[in-house]
Amino acid sequence: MNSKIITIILLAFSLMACEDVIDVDLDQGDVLLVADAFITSESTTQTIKLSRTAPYFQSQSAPALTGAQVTVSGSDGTVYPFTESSPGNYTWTPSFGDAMDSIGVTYTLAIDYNGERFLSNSILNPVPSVDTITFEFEPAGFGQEEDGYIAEFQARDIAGRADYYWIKAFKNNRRVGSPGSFATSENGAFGGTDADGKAFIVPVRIFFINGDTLYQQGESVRVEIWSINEEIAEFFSAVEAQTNNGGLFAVPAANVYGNILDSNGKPQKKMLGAFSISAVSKRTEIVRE
Amino acid sequence: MKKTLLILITLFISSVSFSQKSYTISGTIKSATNGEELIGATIYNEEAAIGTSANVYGFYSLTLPEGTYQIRYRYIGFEDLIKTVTLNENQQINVELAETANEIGEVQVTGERNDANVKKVEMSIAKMDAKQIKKIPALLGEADVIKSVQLLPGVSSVGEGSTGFNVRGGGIDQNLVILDEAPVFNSSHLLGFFSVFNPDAVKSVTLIKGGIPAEYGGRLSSILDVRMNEGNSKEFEGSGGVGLIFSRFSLQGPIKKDKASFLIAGRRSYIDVLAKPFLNDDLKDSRFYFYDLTAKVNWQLNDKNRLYLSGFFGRDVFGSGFFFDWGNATSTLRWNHIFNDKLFMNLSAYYSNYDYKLGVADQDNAEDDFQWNSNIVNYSAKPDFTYYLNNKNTLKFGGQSIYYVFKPADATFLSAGEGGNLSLPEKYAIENGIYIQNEQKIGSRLTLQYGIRLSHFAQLGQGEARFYRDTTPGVRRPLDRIEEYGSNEVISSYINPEPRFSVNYSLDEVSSIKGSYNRMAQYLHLISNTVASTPVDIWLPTNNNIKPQLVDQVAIGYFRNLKKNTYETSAEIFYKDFQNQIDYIDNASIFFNEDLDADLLSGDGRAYGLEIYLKKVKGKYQGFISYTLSRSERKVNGLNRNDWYATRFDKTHILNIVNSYDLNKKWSFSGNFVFSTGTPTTFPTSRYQIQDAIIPHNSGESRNNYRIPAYHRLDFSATLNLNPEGKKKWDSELVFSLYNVYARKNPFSIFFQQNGDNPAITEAVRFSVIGSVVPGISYNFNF
Repeated sequence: MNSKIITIILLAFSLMACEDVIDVDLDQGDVLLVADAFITSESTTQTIKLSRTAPYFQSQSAPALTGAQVTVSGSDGTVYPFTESSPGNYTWTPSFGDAMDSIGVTYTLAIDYNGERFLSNSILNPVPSVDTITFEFEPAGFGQEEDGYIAEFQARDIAGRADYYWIKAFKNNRRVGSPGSFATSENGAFGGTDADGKAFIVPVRIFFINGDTLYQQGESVRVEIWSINEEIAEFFSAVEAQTNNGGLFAVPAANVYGNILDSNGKPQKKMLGAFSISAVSKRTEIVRE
Repeated sequence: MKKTLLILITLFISSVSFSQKSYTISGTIKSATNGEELIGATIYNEEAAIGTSANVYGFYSLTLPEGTYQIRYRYIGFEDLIKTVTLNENQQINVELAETANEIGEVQVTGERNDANVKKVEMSIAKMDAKQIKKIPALLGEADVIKSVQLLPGVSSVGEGSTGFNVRGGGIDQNLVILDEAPVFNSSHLLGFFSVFNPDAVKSVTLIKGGIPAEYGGRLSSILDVRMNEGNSKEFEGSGGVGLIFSRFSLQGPIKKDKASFLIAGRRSYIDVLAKPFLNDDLKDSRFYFYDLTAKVNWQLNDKNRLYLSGFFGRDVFGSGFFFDWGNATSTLRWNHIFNDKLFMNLSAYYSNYDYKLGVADQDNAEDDFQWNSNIVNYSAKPDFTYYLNNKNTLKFGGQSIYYVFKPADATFLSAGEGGNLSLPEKYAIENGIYIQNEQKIGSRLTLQYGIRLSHFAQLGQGEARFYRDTTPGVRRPLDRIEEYGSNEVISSYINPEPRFSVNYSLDEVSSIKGSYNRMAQYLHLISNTVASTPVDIWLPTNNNIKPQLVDQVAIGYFRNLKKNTYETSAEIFYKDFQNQIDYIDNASIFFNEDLDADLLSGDGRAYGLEIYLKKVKGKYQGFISYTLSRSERKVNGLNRNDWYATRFDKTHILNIVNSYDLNKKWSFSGNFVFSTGTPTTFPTSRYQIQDAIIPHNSGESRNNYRIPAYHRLDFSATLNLNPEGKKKWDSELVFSLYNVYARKNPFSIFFQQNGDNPAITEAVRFSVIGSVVPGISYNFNF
């Protein structure tokens, strides 16, 4: 929210300012391991991607980490083995009725690679439903070349607890927003207990699901709410700060460490990334008058 | 510490022991043209080789043995005045000096004595008056106080458009910026493009970087003392200007001739009005402008008493479906009282407020709303006494008490008709200081200034103190416990003795060596983790977790004037040792965070350097060259592998060349060249992908491991005087300017991102705040 307002102000100065892509020489860093482990309680195939870091200017997809042993186990005692279905992609497909969907259960990810074990925990939290998605006509102007629609969704925070939500929007099944952006909300607002159990506040209801261009009639708009843990919300906001870090008010470039721990459950710096299990609610609407 | 104190006391006592029948001449020195007090004007008797200078309120006091003397009153740009005085009793002599006729069309720079640079004990100091500031080419032709200060040796900024300035390796919150004694917490308009001081209302600007006298306290690195004009007490006078970005107007005049006068000055930008046709559609409805208003009255009650009331109000306003505005308001009431011919007092009381507001402004929707206010308010009383003990000793003593109210966030929201509050509690604090200082002349060559300031700070209730457990440095600290405190109960308090010492040893008539030591304590901290400070950054008091910042500074300098004081030169070296510098854990959370202290780190700092200053102060050609070679570093456990790293504002070399030439009565020209080493920044080594995001990573855990390319820029301006013969009452001029003449794209920062069209590609992007030549024209008038 804050960074958005500052961005708008900076636009005001963009009359004189300029940005251009330049060449710089960077040092080669040590290669580290990366876990991209965002799974859900849905009864579809769940994928955990393991890879390695690459030199910053290498534009191929990340080098896959093959040959690791990956399992997720629930605090209720169930074990879910993931198998490497293609290089670096470790998958598990639930059979009917055995999805990882026990709310309140702590799920533990264990990765064994090259004699080392990495662990991470995530609690499956409940998620509120996306109650409605509505559209309001917005004429061209205000940054928009053609007429279109602004979308707004409604949802109500789950009462009596601190909840963290990751909100995603898709236009015709393509994700809205830049790849480095993660729209997260605490209790449907920006923190504070006063928001508990109330309707999501306006910036969340609107700004989180509208991209650079307006929606058009006939397009499909899907809004998803993912329940996440607090540490994942912090991880996302750190990632967002580091991937959208230009301009006058850039923060110091800093490394982001997720919730992957060593075999003793202590923070470590060999494997980057994060593990998260989410309950997901969705609603899709077609834009119409 | 005790030893120092003992030495100071001994020095002082040794200086008091004398006995001879002496009398004192005292009074004020003012301009005959407009009644303004002449700060630093000198009073001198040649036979006895004894002199002094007027203080910031134009008051002087000189004690001489019984006899008849020729007293010479002098101020640069004014005619000397010689009075014959027969001293057989104490006398009050108020004088007015006449301005020198302006014959060759050159702008007369006014100031204290010619050789003040060499003779005065103060070092690491720079003074500018409005005339000098107006000669320096500026962005869009608008003379600017802070931008001018940034050209002085030892002063820098992180880049164009950034708020504030850095002095000798200190952060921007380490400068005490005072306008008529009241602190200004954010000295910038339009982020950092312009400063809040209206040059039409400014009388003098003094920057003190080292050897800081005991009367000042509360910030580590510098004092920027801005004094407003008092208002012409002789006749009405108006001045103003019309530029591309804003217009100015000021009016001053007597309320009662020679007794009371007023000044009122205002500015408002109209970039929003002018820029409208050029703006993208999404900014069509936007508001962005700033304005400021400066007002002052002063009243000479009688020979012994004078009152000043001054106020400043400035604001920047942005809006476009939302609103965002910020600004300072200050008001100061001062009372000058002359107890007797030797004891002068100024009592200041001020109120200062910096606040910002932002939120959503949607009148059509009463169901949803978001508002966020934050401010820092302070109230202060500050008595300062000067006791002119004798010709060898001038004693200053006084104190200050400041009561602070901090409102870090007062935020409310309304969602679908349901309201909520995200506010953080207000915080309260009191800061006190007492000081005593003596300036002592020993023989004809040696001058000492020594003193001590004792500062005290207490964080007061009502409020809570939050305590945290230790953890790995660099990681958020877990909350341990919360303690509640009642109203005005002391939550935490600190006391710091701050010794100050300066010495001047004259080698001969034109050169001297100076040295100084000062310790400073700072109890307020600007919480800002961005490259350039933002208007929403919050000021926080020292508390149970955040310790007072401390610095010890030593500086040594050689000062020499050449060709009958036509050239002033100086070379200084300094070393500063900082303690309790605030830094932030990686990915710290600054806003709406009641556990902010858990994200703060504390570390040491050091800064050292060499400053060379060469200035030509007389003639048709005037100007200066300033060069700084310096280093500014921090060492914070939890950052940069716990090793020293260069601060974001570290610049190895800074070279500024400022020139002005008065061709004839009609035309004058100015040119600037500035060069500085690029600032340090952190570059990644690697990348990795999480979901769709490609995240940069530095596997060496380094901070500020690279530097952005060097900054350099050339500016020109030409001034056409439209009333060269001075025949008309209406004086006016046109100023044409070119900023960044060779259109260099000076980088402000280099950052890394995913390509917008192909997110698999990562790239380095250079961000330049000003990427082209900026022409400007402004019209200034005076009547």
